[in-house]
Amino acid sequence: MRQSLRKVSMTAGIVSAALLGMSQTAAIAVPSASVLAPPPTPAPAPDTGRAPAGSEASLENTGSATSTRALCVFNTAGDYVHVSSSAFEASGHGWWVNGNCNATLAVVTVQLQQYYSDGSWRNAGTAGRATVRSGGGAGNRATGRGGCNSNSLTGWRSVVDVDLVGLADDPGKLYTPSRNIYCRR
Amino acid sequence: MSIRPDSTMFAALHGELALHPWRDPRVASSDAYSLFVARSSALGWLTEATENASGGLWGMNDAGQGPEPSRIAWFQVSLTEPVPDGRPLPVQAFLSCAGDVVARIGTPRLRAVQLLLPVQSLDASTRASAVLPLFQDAGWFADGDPRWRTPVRVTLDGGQDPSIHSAAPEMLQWIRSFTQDVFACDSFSLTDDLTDDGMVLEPAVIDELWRGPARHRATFHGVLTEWSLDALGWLAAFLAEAASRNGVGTPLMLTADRLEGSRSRVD
Repeated sequence: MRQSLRKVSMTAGIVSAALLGMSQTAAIAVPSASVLAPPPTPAPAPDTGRAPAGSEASLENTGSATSTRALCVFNTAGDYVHVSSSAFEASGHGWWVNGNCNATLAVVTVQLQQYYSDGSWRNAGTAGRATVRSGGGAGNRATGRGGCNSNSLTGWRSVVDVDLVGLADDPGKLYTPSRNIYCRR
Repeated sequence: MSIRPDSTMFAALHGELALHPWRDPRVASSDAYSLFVARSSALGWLTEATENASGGLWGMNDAGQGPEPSRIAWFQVSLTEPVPDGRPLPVQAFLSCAGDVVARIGTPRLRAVQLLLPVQSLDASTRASAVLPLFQDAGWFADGDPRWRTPVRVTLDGGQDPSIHSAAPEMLQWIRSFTQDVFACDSFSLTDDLTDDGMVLEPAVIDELWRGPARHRATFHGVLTEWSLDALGWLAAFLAEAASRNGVGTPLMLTADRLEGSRSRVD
């Protein structure tokens, strides 16, 4: 687990403003194009292992939180978006691992995103949201899903957000590495 | 920039699992998924799902138990990098990790293993052969108890891709051309009828994850140096290399079971 301590000064209002909807807006910021240009379509992602330059700000997978007592650290974790073994759908899990935060529960949200031919990432499928304990074990993961409409090779990733219950934490989210899987919505 | 499709590796362990008496699944904080993440991370096999992650062999996909009682546990990962030149598919590490996880949950009695092998990631036209490293790896099994030797049946199913049929005779010759003591291959047979040779395991994954449904198959009979996940992992990597070297370039569903009356190292 990688951890980094960062000084955080924020309010719960700032945290709530950084929810996934805003992330999507940032992710799909697209250069202006001719009205005659074909609309972007889902596509395989280049094999860079990273988000395309300029698509969003760099975000860390670790988190920190402030409380009235002290600064603390936790880890935001996820897995690789994959085709489920039991249903023809893309799937990705998210969870959190506590370092030293005075929190028992966190709300974990996992939103899958699909890569588009214009270089943008767009939300796809249904976000998973669960209030879970630390560790990622039984019943302590959230799952984002997106049913496949075809088996065309397409880039996918997930965005995992962790909000500690009772503590204000930073707005950082985990963007998992892009994976090209035979699933397209 | 290149575009690389994901390579999925899947394992399902079949048999019986006697849960440890101290472990209550109703209150346990861990499960097959979290244990597999923890174990493969500790051993350096897990590539974290972060932008700048490095190292590791696979990224986590999923894991679980059941749904039928005979399926002890199952695990799914993505290979995170192309298989390095001269190295086999990391199946031995994969099954070793799976075995560690199951041993944390209970005491298994392993009847069969089913594996989805991403043979397509072993491009024989561009890669150096991984067979010599496999023989080095085989040193792990040296000096085992001769009574552990186990007759096994291993079926490779290419699904809708028929290339396993033409590859099988050449695979047998290829396997026999090497000196190794882990797997003595006696024969092979070709049959596409799921009921012909008594195999009862349906593919554990949906058709879209490979070239399913099951259809074109080759079954190899032989003696494995021991009935263990380590040895089965070695054998699976060896057969994947054999298939790749002899014209198979698509995923294979491997099912291995031991023949009646044989002894097990792990029972």
